[in-house]
Amino acid sequence: MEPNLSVWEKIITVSSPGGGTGKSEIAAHIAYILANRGKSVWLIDANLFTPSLDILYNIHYHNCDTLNEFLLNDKLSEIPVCDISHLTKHQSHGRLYLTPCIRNDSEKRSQTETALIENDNICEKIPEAICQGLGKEIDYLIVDTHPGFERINQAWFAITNYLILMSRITPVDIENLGMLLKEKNSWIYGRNSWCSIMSTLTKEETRTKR
Amino acid sequence: MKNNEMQGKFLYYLKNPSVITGINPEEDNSVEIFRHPIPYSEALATFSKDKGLYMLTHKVSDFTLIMKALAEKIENDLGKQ
Repeated sequence: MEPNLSVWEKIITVSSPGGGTGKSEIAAHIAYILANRGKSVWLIDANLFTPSLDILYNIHYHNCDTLNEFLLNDKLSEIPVCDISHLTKHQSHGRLYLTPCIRNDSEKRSQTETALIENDNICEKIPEAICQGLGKEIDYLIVDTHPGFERINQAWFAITNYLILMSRITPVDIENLGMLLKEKNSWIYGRNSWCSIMSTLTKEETRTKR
Repeated sequence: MKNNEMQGKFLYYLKNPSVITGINPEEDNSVEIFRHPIPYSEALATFSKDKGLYMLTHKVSDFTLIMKALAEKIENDLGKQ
């Protein structure tokens, strides 16, 4: 499938070299703000190890499949989506959709982690499914990944047009960020991709020790 | 590291982005550092998730204003393409 360029221009990914930078908080708020500005926003919780978007929105998704089911089930060709537009202020304008990630089912989370390690092809169906999903009048797709840059995150980066990298102002995070950016052109391919770095200031060490 | 030290480092990186990016901004402007760092907030760190999104109850906090600025930037940047 060769999607038109406009489909890919909608994809924003939030990631970071290390954990605890506020990726999910950023993704949840940006999605909410854009939806309240009249946009249709699809938010994917791709943080397979520590998902939290449902917690941040304080919602339950009992009637919705998750990203894990999509990745684990070869027969599922569409990424599941919950309509959570009721959370927005002006429900008649923008829309807000969420693809949740399993948080409480440790067995299924473990299956997903194993599949990510053992199945080389698990990421291959992501682009086509995204392309199909984005056809549904979506203005922006925001992907909240887990920290790090291994294979599944690289699969998201490869279809990303606008990458937001979160980093703390610490020597380790800055060094890791620099190493990642040296590889930028190898994982964002051939489009007019943008990359914006956001910085989070951590709690003062002196206060932490108290 | 104290907050003023972190702020100082951030300002240094903002003025000298190639220290992090390894890219000369005059040659490649596709990577940039967002000019508003997110300050540490005890209120955000300890916020009860039962209340939903933080910005709903902290409408004029630094964090909320930075999120609005970022959303606007995303719309502008993607609109330019």
